[in-house]
Amino acid sequence: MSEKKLSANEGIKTRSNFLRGTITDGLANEITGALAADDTQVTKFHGFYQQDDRDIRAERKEQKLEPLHSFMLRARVPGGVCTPAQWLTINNIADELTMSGSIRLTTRQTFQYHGILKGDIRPVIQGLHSVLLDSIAACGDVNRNVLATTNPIESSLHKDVYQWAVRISEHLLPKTRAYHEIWIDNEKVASSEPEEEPIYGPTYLPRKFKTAVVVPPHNDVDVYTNDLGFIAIAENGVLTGFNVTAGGGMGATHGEPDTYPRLASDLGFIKPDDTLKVAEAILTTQRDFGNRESRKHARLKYTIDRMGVDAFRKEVEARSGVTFEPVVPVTFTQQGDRLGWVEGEDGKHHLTLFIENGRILDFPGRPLKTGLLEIAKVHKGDFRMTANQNIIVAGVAPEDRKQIEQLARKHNLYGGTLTVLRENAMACVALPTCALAMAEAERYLPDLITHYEALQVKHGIEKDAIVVRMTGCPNGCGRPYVAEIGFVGKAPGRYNMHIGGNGLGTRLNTLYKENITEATILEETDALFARYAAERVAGERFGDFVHRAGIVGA
Amino acid sequence: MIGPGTGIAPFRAFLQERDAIEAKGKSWLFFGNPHFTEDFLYQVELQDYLSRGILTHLNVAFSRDQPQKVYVQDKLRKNAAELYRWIQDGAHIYICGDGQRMAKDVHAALLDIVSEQAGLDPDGAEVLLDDLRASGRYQRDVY
Repeated sequence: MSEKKLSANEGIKTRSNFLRGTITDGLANEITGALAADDTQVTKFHGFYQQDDRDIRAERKEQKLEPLHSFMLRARVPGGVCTPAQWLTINNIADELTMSGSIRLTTRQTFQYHGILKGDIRPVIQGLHSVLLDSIAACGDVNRNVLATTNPIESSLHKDVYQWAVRISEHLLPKTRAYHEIWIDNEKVASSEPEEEPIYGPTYLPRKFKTAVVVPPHNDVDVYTNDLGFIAIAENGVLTGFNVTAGGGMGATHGEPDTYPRLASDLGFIKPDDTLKVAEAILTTQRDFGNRESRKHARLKYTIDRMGVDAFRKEVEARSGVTFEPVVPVTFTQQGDRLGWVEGEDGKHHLTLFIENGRILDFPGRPLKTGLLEIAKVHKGDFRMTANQNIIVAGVAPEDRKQIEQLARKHNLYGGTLTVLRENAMACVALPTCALAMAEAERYLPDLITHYEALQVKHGIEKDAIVVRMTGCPNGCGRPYVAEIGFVGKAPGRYNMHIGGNGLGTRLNTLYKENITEATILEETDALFARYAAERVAGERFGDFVHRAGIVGA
Repeated sequence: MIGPGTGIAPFRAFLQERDAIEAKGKSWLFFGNPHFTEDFLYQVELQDYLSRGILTHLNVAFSRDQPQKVYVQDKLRKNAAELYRWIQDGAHIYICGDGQRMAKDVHAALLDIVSEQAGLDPDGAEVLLDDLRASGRYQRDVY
């Protein structure tokens, strides 16, 4: 290895004593609402980030107050499945222990809270613990929340795949006792055994690591954007194994061409029994070969590009003792969610509700949070959060369908007149809380979509689903690089515009215009929509058209 | 220095002076107000003094951030043993702020602390505080 200096985070991990740091001291410090700088890196492994309200930073500075520090905590919910009883607690925690009062559904198929004050972190985590939820490894340089296609139709296959997501998540969890010690027991539990991390070692991974399990043909988890992917292969509804993919990732840095979004490479097919062995081998290969000097080049995608896919595959085979079989061909048909009711093979009904940008709160005329709470009080099935920031009321018996539908309609969760454009749109949180945000996303995209709807009507293409996504920075939480039209924040009010994803999550889009304002965005889009409406062939998606027309790509 | 609410004002000046003359001794401030996030007056200045050792101890009481109200006198009682050591070591006690309740509650807390720590009866504790007052080591500016 080179003699370059390790990144600062590596030292923090090494010194943290298996993710303890000085968090406990920081919690006891009454003079500041913040934690020590190094500890804010360590707490990511416990599922939360320190943030501050950037809208009021300047005002508070004048008042000689420190920034309004608070914490964003993300739960670990493999496959996004939770029970109505859990939802009641999730809801109450948002009410009682967060400043925002909101529950945010995330692109990682879980929920997160914004605006937790330092003194309330412990009660939040204990509240989640009381209903068997945790936030371990929801952030940090570890395997994050494992995604799984919600797939309410093929009920038995969903169950299998969901259980694999849970097993993978648990197998790859950090084993440190720090989380329980700090948050649950509130004291160090004496143990004679030395602590160890059998899979990770004391310095964990070089960077975050994302895993998804997908059930074709519905690519709702954008499996190829994950570090590690499992594509379920089934015969007659029975799982026969997985195509394994590795090395996907969205993040990039503006102006640094050696950072880039990348779709995962196909490694080959494996039997279900080999799943955990292969997952662990891929993770440890990244642990040992990943770049620990530059965090911008530390994701698995760069490791694989450096090693080459074949060498990487060989290393994984050697470590796991599993030989990959040839990839089984699969077809994907969409990346967005299927909204509304569907009936599953098991005779149960499932209602997918659209939640704009995943933000569950009571809005004027749209009491979404109350609506979900009322549904949770009577619902006998489960809830499934989707990787597109929506939620499914799943497993509704035919006789209960009417009641669920009434509650959903009453609270404007369902039955409105949304366009397909809006239903497929997605934005990350960005300002005012995300420290990485360079431009608005969640607060602005709904307005841009309104302009887009008018343009669609103008050109007579309002029935066409076009996947539009926006993120406030190039790190890609909203997976903008696989959208048909993706916006990546550069500066306040300015975005890079990417076009040409295929609506299936299996093709990256291409940078089309750089650093443009809303006026230019609308001008460009007007022209593109005009050509699309005039020149497309039947059934051709927008993202495919711009390629065929030579507007982007070769 | 015990200065909740607007009582912080003179102590800010004390700290500015100690900073200017590069004073070496120990200092301890008790501050309080209703809410941590909104009412921590001069928070960043105090954090800075603390990090540079101009101020060596800082305790805060934000009364309305929890169901059970917490005031500066509660923080004094919590630190009884160390406070009494400071008094024995020659500390000066300054109180500024509300005279209706705070100053009385703080006085009562100080009486309890010295009687408990020095093993004095209530009268003995009063005498001890009176002596401090007479020697200029217990001063109040309350209103």
